[in-house]
Amino acid sequence: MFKYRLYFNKAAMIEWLNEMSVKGWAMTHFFAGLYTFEECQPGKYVYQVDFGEKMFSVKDEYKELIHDTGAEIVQCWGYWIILRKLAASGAFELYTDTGSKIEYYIKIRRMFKIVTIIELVCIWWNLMAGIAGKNLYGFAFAFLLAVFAIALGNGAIWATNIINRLREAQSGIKIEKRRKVSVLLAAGLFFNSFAWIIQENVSRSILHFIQMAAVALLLAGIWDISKKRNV
Amino acid sequence: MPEIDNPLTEAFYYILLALRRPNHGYGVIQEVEQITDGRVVLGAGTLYGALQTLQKRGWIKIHSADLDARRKKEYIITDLGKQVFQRERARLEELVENGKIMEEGRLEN
Repeated sequence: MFKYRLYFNKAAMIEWLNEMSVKGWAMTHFFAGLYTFEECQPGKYVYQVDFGEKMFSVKDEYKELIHDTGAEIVQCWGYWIILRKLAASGAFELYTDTGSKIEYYIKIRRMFKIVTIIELVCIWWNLMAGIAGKNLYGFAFAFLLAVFAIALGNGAIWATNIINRLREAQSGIKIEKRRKVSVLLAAGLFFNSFAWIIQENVSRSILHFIQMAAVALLLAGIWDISKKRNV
Repeated sequence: MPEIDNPLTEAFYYILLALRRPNHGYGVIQEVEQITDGRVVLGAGTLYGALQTLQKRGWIKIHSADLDARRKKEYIITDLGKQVFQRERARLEELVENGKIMEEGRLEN
């Protein structure tokens, strides 16, 4: 069985893989968002995700250690290492003290930050192409990339929130919450992108409707973000 | 080697202790779990990260007897690692010893 999903939140992905395992589907492969599942005894495996030192590979020492602890490497993808273990052999935790958990999430956040910056550069490049009129779909791509940039930026904020919670546990002092970029803003950008792509093929009234919806979503998104600031 | 002034974490302390003789990664996890009666169970990620850090600090090294690539990699504490461990142990003993002063206070009141 194949399923296509895009996760920017590691915890949500693990939860989903574990739910699938409970339903009798064990994840066996991953390729660019496409997950392959094989039938298994319901609840046979528990999944975890680690963050490696190099892309698409792990050292022999790491492989050995994982194997010795009764787990197996399902797939390396980018820096992510998807692991699983038989549920019957007990809990599956990779990081067991606060210090190492913080280091783990700092590595994840760094990756999210770098990819977000790359996305922003791509957006800028596409916007310029759109303005110069060289690329008819420059604006469309820019808006589409902005949707991803928001998701990635939220990935970095998600990691920051966890790091803050862990640091709170270390220091016993509460850290002020950071807010998230609203999904409504992402939806607005997506609609805008959609409008740019189809502008030549649909009637003016439909196009206007989509553009109005996009603007409404963007405004709602901005309102949503500013509202969270006061909480 | 830059000086480190903060105390060892529990994981680092026990890993150094478990590497007083050559041991591989999983062996360290098992020994630490055993001597703490199951209280400290090191996760694979935590242990792997700690082993990398301790090697970079020169507190542990790969055990030279088995450079044979087919065998499991074993680690052992270095002289520097032993010094760090003993310093930390002395500090902890002092803490526990001085902790007794708390009882004296209670008797007086």
